[in-house]
Amino acid sequence: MYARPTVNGKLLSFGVSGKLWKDALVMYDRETQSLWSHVTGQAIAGKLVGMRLQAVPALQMTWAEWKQLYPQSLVLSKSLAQRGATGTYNVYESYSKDETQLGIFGTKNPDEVLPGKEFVVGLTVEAEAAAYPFRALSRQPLVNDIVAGRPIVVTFSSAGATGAAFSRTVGTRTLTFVNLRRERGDLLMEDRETHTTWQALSGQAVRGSLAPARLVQLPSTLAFWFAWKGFHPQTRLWKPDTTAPAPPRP
Amino acid sequence: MRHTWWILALLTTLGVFLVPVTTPAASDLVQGSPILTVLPVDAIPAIDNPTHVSVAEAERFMRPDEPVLGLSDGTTAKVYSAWQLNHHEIVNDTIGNRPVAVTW
Repeated sequence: MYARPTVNGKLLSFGVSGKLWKDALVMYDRETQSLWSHVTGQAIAGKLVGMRLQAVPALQMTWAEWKQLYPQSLVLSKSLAQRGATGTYNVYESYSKDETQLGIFGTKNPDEVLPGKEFVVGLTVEAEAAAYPFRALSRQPLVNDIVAGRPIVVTFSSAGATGAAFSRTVGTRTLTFVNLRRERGDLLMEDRETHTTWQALSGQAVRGSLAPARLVQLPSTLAFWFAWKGFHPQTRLWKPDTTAPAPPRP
Repeated sequence: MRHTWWILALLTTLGVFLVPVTTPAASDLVQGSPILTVLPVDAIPAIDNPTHVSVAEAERFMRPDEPVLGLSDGTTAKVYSAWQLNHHEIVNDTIGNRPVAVTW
């Protein structure tokens, strides 16, 4: 998800170029015909080459989890009038389930430390990339971490099939999050410093002295390990603290 | 119109032959990787004028386990079915007054 910039007085709009780069979608902008990687947000060819789109934090999760979080949300219509197919099922289901096929042309897993099709929450802070594998997150679904010197928190819901990342800095304070749990369907956590209660997937403070503050969400993505590692060869791979007891699944 | 999947399936089969044939000159590489053309421009149609409905209305066509991609600016939240994005890849939209490209 990216902010669309205005270049020379023209707001850019994007189409599908039909090209792939590093096994991933290449977009083009209709105003300059430049080519853009949707993974890095960078123009890789054309007049705007080298320019980088500003990432807007988005979240991938199940519909059930999303409507719990944002009951007032607007939802993209599946009106039949819209050009193209309506998406009533997953056309990539067999690809998602095939553990051996990596990418369209059969890419190799660049790092066998994890299975190629293991899902990770991937994020970059400045030039530093970090990956949080789903299987490890299901054992430790709340991670207070530091990436590129910045205190961050990664939150995970196995039921919602989602992970999110936020800055742990609020004003002049650095918070430490604990006690991730469900309350009436809401995934909540607390900070140790002020005991404020926060929604763990939106970063919204719901009660306590810091309410109604909102944590700054960091752009993150859910990706297959092989693809994340392919784009970020230097990525750090987070491992859970094996000395901590396994918490109940949120 | 499920052309995306079968074209990709076909390309997967052809991929074995296609990759060596299309091995590009070093000058065509971007950061060491080639830009490969697999479909005509706009064969997968981006959505330019998205229409949105309420959660209550969306219940008619969404399933509980359906994956979605969503964003919120703290005031407005918008969400897109991943199954639908499979057929479009890009939605040119706005959140609040901010123009965004939803990419999948």
